[in-house]
Amino acid sequence: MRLRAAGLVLLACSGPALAVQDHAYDSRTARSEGRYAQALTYAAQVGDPGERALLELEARYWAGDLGGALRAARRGLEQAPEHLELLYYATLLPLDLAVPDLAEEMLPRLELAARGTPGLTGDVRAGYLERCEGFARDLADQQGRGDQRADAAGRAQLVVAIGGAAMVLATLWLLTAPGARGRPGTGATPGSRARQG
Amino acid sequence: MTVELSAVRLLAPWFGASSGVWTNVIGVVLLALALGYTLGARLSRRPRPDRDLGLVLLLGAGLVAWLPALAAPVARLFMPSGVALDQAASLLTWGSLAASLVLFSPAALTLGCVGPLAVELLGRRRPERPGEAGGRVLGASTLGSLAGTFGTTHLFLPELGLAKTFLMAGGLLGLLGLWLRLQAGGGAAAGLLILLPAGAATGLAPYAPPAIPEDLTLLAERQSPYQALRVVEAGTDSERPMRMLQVNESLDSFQSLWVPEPGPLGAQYYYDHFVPPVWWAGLPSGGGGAQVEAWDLLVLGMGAGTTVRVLEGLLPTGRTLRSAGVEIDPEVVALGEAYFDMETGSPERRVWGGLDGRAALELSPGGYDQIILDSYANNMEVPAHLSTTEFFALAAEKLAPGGWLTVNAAGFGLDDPVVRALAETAAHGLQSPVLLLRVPFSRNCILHGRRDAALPLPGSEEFRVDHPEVAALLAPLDLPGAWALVQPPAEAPLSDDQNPVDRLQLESIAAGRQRWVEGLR
Repeated sequence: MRLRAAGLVLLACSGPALAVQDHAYDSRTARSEGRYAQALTYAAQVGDPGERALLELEARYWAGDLGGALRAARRGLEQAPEHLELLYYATLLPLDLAVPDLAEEMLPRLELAARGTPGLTGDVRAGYLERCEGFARDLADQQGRGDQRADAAGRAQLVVAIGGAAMVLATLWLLTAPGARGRPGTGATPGSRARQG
Repeated sequence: MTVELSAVRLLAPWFGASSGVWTNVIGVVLLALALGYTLGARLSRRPRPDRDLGLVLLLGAGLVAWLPALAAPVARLFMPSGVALDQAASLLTWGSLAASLVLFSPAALTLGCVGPLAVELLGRRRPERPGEAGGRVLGASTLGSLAGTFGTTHLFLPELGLAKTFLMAGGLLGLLGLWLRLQAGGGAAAGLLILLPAGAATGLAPYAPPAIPEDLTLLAERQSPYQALRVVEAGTDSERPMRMLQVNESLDSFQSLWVPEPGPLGAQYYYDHFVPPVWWAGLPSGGGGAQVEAWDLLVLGMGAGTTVRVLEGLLPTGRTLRSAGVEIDPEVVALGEAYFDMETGSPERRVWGGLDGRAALELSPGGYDQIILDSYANNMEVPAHLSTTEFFALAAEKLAPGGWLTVNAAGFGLDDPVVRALAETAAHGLQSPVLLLRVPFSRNCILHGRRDAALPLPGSEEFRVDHPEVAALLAPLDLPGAWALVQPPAEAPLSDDQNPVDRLQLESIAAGRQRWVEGLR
C-alpha cells in the first residue's frame, strides 16, 4: 500500500513534467522537420514562460523571421528576465538586423547572466563570455558605422545649406545690384563697328 | 549637356542614378548656370569680352577635365564605404546633392558665363540688336546641346567610357578657349597653365569608382547607355562559386545571380520563390512521361537570366519551360550570355533585349501560364509604369485562364509602404485577391495573383507540393505574419495618372529595417 501510494505520488509528480518535455520536444522536432507553424503550436503549450519564448524564438529564427524571433525573445524576458539563452538571442538578433541600440541594451544583462547563472560548466560560461566580447566588438563596429553615416549626412546638409544659400544670394545680388558706371565696351575690340541705332 | 548627362553617371557608383539623384544634379547645374549667367552679364561690360570668353572657356575646360579625378574623394565625404541599401536613404538624397554642389557647380558656373559673353561679343562685332544676338547664341548652343545629348548617351559613354568623355569635353572646350585667346591677341600661357594640369589629372589621379570588396573577383565591367555594370564572383576557388551582376552603386544589392548548376539558389534568395506556381498548377497529365506540357513563361526584367535558370532546375517531371524574357539593357543581355549561361537563341528561350517591359507586354501574344515581374531601375526603384493598375490589368489579359502573375516586391515586410501599395494595386488590376509572402532572411516579398482562379493559402492542402526543395521553401511561409491575402481595394493606390511610388520608395528606405523591430523600443 505504501509502495503503491509512493508510486502514485511519483507518477503524479512526473506527469506534468513529462507533458512539458513532450511539448518542447515536439516543438523542436517539428522545427527541425520544417513544420514551423506546428512548432509554434507546440511551443504555446509549454508552461514555463522562458522555455515557451525560447521555443517560439527558435521556430521563427529558423524560418527566417528574425524580427519575430527578436520579439519572442524580448517578450520572454519580460517574464524571465535572467534567462540566459533568451538574453543571448536578444543580443545576437539586433546585431544580425543591424539595429545596434537594441543589442547595446541587452549586452550588459547577458554578461551579468553569463557570470551569475548557477549550474553552468566552466566551458559553457567561458563560451558565453567570449561571445559577449564578440558582440561588444560587433556593436562597436556597427555604432561606429552609424556615426560615420550620421557625420556624412550632417556634412552633406551643411554643405548644401551654406553652398546653396551662397549661390542663391550671389545670383540675387547680381540680378538686382546696380551695374557699373559709364558705357561698357568702348569699342576696343578688334574689328568692332559702331552700333547702329 | 555632355557634362550634365555624364555627371549622374559619375556619381552613380556611390549614389546611384535614381530620379532623386537626377533631380539633384539638374538642380545644382541650373542654379550654377543662373549664377554664371548673371556673372557673365557683369563680365560682358568689360573692355575685352573676346579675351574673357577665351579665359572662361579655358577655366571651364580645366574644371571639367578634373571631374573624374575628384569624383571619388568628394563622394567619399558624403557616402562612407560599407553602407547597406536600407541605411543609405538620407545619404543618397543629401549626399548626392552635396557632392553635386561641390563637383559640378564650379564648372557649370564658369560655363554659364559663356552665353552672355558670346552675346556681347556678337553684338559688338555685328550691327545686331541684343535680341538677335541672343537668339543666335541660344540657337547655336541648343544645337550643341542636342548633339551632346544624343552623342553622350549613344556614343561617348559606351565607346569612350566616363573618364575619357569628360576629358574629351574638356579638351574641346579648352581648344576653343585657346583659339579665342589667340584670336583676341591674348597669350597661350594662360591656356597652357590651365589645360596641362587638367590633362595630368586624368593620368595621375584617374577616375576611381569604389573598389569591390576583397572577397570578390571582378570578371567584367561596362558602361551601358543605362547604367554602370560589373560582374563579380564570390568563392572563385570553391566548389560552388557565385556570380553577381551589379549595377551602379549596388551597395549590398545585386541584379542577377549565377551558380554552376540550374536550380535553387537558397531560400533567402527571392528567385526561388518564383517557382511554386509551376507546382501549384498541378502536375502534368499523361503519366509515365508520355505527355510533356510546356509552361509558358514571360519574364519582365530578365536581367542575366537568373529566373529561368532557377525554374529550369525545379520543374515537375513531364513539364518543360518555354520562356520569353524582356530586358531593357542590351549590355545586360550580352553579359548574361557571356557570364551567366543565359540562352537567347532558341524558340524555347527567347530574350528581347533593348525593349521596355510594358511595351513588350503590349506586343506579346499572351496566353502565358506565368508572368514574372522582376524589374527594378537603379537597384531599388520600381519603374512607375510597371506598378500601376493599368499595367496589372494588361498583365491579366495576357495570362491564360488560371495563369499566374508573380511579382518581386522589395521591401521591409508585409506592411512596407511599397509592398502594400503594389499588392493592393495588383489586386485591383487583376480584380482578384493577391497572396503576399515574406521571403525569409531577406528584404523581399513575393506577390502571387491569378487570373480567374483561386490562390492556394499557406496551411492548406493546395499550398503543399510534393518536392522536397520546393516544400522546404514553402514551410516557413506557414508562420503567422509570414503571409497576407490582399483584397482588391475600391481605388488603386498606383495608377498611370497618379503614382506616388517614388515617395513611397523613400518612405520605405527611410524606415528600413527599423520596420522589423517596430514597437521594441
